[in-house]
Amino acid sequence: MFSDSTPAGSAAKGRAGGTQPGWHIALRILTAMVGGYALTSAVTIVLARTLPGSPLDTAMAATLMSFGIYTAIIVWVFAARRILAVTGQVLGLTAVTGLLAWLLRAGAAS
Amino acid sequence: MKGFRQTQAVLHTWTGLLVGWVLFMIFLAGTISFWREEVSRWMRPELSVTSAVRGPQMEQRAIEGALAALGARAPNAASWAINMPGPRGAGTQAVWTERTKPGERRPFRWPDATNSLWVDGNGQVVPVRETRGGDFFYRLHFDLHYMPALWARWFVGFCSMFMLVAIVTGVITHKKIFRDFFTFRPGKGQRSWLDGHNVTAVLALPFHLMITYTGLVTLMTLYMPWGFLANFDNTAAMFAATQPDVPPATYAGAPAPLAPIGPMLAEARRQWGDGTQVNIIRISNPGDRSARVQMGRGLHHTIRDDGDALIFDGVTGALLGAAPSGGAGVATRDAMVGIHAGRFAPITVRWLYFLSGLAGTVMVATGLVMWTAKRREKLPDPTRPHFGFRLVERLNVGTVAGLPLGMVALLWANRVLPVDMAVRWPAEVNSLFIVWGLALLHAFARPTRRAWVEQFALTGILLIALPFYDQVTDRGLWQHIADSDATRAWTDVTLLTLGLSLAAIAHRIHQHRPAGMTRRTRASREAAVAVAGE
Repeated sequence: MFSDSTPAGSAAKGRAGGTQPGWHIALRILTAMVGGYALTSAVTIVLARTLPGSPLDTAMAATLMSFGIYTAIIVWVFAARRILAVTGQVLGLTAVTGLLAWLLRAGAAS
Repeated sequence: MKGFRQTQAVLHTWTGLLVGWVLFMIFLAGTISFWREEVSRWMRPELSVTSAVRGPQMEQRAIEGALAALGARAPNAASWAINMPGPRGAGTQAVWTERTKPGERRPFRWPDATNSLWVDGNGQVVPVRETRGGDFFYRLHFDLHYMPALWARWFVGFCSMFMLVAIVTGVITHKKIFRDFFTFRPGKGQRSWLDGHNVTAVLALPFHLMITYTGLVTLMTLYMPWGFLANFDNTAAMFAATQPDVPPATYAGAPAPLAPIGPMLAEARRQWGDGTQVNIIRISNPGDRSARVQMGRGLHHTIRDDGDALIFDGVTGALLGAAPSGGAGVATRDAMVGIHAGRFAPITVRWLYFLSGLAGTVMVATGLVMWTAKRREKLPDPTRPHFGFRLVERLNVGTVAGLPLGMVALLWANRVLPVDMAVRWPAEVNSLFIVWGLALLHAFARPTRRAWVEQFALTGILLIALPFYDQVTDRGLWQHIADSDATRAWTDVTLLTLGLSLAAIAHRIHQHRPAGMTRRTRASREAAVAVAGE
């Protein structure tokens, strides 16, 4: 990982920090942690409602997967080139999945 | 791909540093917890090998002894609990909770000299010094100390999530993960730290990934309750779905003797299958018409960590209910918790757990040290580093060397504090944190390298001295061998080995002359690196 401090590495550095304004990295962290948790929660609810099995089993299975889902989202957010785009994508996905989760929950209540 | 790897390297470095010190404590306490029963045995020397419980007859005798002692000592308690020793432990612990007046709330107490007693293998009460034993390290692993357990668990979960991200990004950061597997270049400064970090990380990588993920799973209903709340009204309803479907008993106020425990134990063994042991017995409203007996299964025969609880009527002895058997989701969760805690592990697997845990602890430690090793050569003036660098450097010493020193201080406190001292276990635990605090001060007061040497050397000497102290003052290694007490004998050998290892580390750091600190060698090293094309 140190060997990247060559010209090719410093070119990549332009994206990873350095020339970027400070709020970019703050937004990236916020999107990864808070946005990632919200999206993971919504996906977990949808999985818990749609997987086959008893309510306890599907809730267990969905929650078991959630930490892997959260990790994948965090890696994705930090790997993305443009922070504003990825924040928009996380928010959009959370809205869609959250709506689906809400509909599934409401469907169960009726 | 290169840009991706670069961002992941940045993420890896900073997530690692931010929670590294806490992760070091979590890893070390968790690693020690694989020897929870052994540490408890060591910290309660009053319980000899004859206090071990082997086979159904001994089990029944110990439980009957505990019940008799509880009936004599706390006949009007709201509840009794009997903690059975595992296959490597000794002594049966009987705990009671006094009945409170309606509306009165009593704070939770760990078993201590005022609410618990010990019985040996013959069911006789034995005086035992008040200590938390190995349970302290187990709780420290996820409840920390001096703070509400709920806050601690959120904090530990937060750090574990960082750890999971650090592991995944660490794998991505590696270009040549399998070459690194076989690469260790000692005595090369920063390179050696990197190799040490990689070797301990890659060698036990499946373990690290497993232990971090399953660790999050053990507390997943706390961290990620939303899937459960989508299917259940609340988490209490969810937990109820895993328990026997028996309504809680309300205190009747009408005396009635407890049914004999023997037939209940026989029924439990029949339900669970041959060779299973009881792990815990809880009796609510003992001596009352509403008495209930709950039995939890020992977890030494199965990977699945489900306690498989049974509930009996305390007066008639009839089986009222058993825990429902879940489907695939529940089984997977139980297995994941099971492989995290390793309660099933026989002794060889247990040693592998312990060594992998040690590798994880060393991985976190070398990662922390690497953060400074990497930056030292880039400092404008290496003799006068900036504040942030010095802070990290000193916190590294005070944690990586200071925490083990504090833990050894706890072991010494267990031996030297008066055996009949009041409020004894908190004094033992306080000694850990007092010594750790002193170690942190020491790390800031001394030159860094001297601080490393002094703290590691002191920890090593104190560890080596423990078995000798036992030999001189009480029963030591010779007696354990003569008694065929393998657990205690191996514990002493392990303490000696760990002590010698830390002393050797201190000696190596003392001998070490940092390379690459002078301008000349630095330039030649850079040239060598350039030639190597790295």
